[in-house]
Amino acid sequence: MAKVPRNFKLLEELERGEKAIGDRTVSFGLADGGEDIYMSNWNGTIIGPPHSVHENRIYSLQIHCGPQYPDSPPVFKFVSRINLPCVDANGNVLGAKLGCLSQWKAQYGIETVLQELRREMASSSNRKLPQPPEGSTF
Amino acid sequence: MELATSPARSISLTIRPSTGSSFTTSISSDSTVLQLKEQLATAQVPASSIRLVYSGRVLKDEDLLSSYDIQDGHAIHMIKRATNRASQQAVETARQAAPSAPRRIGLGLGGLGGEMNPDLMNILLNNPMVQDMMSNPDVVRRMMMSNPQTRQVMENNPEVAQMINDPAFLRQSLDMARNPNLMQQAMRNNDRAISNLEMIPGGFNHLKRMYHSVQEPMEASRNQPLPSTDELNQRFAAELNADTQPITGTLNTTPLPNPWAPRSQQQGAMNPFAAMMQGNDRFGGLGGRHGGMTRSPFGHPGAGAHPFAGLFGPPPRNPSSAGVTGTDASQAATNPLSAMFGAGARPGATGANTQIPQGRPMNPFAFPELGSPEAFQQVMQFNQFMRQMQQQQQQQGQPNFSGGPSLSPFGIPGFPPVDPAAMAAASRQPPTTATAASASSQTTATTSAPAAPLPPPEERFQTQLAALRDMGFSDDNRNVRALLASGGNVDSAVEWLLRM
Repeated sequence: MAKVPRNFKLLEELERGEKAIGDRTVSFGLADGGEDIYMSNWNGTIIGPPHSVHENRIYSLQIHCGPQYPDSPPVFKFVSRINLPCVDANGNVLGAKLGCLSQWKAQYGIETVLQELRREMASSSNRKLPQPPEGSTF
Repeated sequence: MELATSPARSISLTIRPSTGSSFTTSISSDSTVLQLKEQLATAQVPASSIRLVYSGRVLKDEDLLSSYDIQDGHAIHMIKRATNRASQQAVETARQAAPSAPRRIGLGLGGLGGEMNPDLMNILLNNPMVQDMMSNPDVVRRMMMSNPQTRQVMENNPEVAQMINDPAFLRQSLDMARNPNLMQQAMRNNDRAISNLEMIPGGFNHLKRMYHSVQEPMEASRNQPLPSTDELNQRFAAELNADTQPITGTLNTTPLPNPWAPRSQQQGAMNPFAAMMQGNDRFGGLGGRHGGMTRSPFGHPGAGAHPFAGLFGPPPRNPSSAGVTGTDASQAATNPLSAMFGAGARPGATGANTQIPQGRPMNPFAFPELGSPEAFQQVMQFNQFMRQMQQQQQQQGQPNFSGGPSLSPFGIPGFPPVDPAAMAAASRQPPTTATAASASSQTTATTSAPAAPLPPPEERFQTQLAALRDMGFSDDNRNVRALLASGGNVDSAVEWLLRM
């Protein structure tokens, strides 16, 4: 398969995010408006999955896509406080503990990771984890 | 930013709520987020409990839409805010309980425990409030009546109404719902009752009618949003080759549909076992004969009238030997179905109901399995079992149940054993009129006297003996022994002879 250049892929993802094509439980978009011509910094939100402690919560994340994206995975950091095994004490998402980051493929995107994080929240082992009060940030 | 300074214009936004379908709304690009929220607010959802997310950002009330660079055609996620922790919990619990409880109760507790999560059901039923409510039959009755479908069923079937009006029965049902063992036992009784019912002439049609008049509307009221019930029924009926609708109020003289016949084979539909019989050449005469003789009125205990008479013995024995209590044998003979109704899942039912002859279904709750996928599966399993049996016969060239006198092919307790003489007589002969007649008389004889003595083996195995002699086995005594040992199967007999 031909390699999709970084900016093409990111532009496509931007459109998906703005028009909310696909999943309605995660959302993402460029952080700095149109000023960041390299499209490196993104915002993401995850709507807490139902039947879990995260229900009705919105989690905000910062996403950084490095120059090697999509060959190397983006870096995710939670802005909203959250208690998850794959998130460290500073809110950084630990790539080694999240399947799609540790086994990153170039076809993956920001949405893939956000969805996997949401699945993590809904997983039977994590959905009852005690969480910090809503609205608190790292 | 350029966009922030550009003149205000109307932009159309797609709003994607976390539940439900998305919609579009138009708003001026210079409005604030709060204004957008007010536009989206409804009576149930005030603006203060709406949260909006765009491009990975939670929108703040005081910000302008333009400050987020929101453009025409973009989508905004809408999430409802939970008012507080406690109410959220309450909502959660209510949501878990709500879909099951009213529907169940409204249904009349028909298929309780079938598809439900039993734990949840238990919790629900053991809840003191629910128990309190349930212990009051009036409340339960009112709940049932509040469902229009149930009401309709009740209007069409006075017996059902009577049942629902019977507080004892309601209590029983609730007890049953609480106690899984009791439930299971009732279900087992049901299974047995149904399988017995199916063995009786017209019984299947009656079941079908009952299903159409009671179970189906019930199911329909339960699964209202799902259109699949009809489809399922049709598939079920098609699978069983049942395509005629019995006319209510008249004697049902239509023979049982044949679930095993090829779909187009009308002749085969005369006798449920015709296909099986025809699968094996030797049975051709038998199948045809019964096809022509199933015309006597429903419930008449005459030998020829019973499609299974030749196979399984006298029909009046069915209900009485099936362990049905409270109905004497003569009652069973004139109306075997009425006995069946008493054996359903209604241990506390009023006895009078069982006396009503064949007109209306007595107890719709006795047959909840009919509509359930499990029942369908069971029927299919049964079907498969019959097919396997047929294959086995074809392989062996002889019916394997002609050997043991007490083998019950259905495993139904109390089912009259297969009469080996009738089977053997019918099976070993080529389908000539003479043998068909002899088989017929044999059948009639066994109906009146089930323990008729077997003819001597030389006579029974005439054709096989001739075949063996042709093969060069000249010792008739040995041949007879071999045939006896092999149950009349020439191939096995030859094997036996060569081995000995």
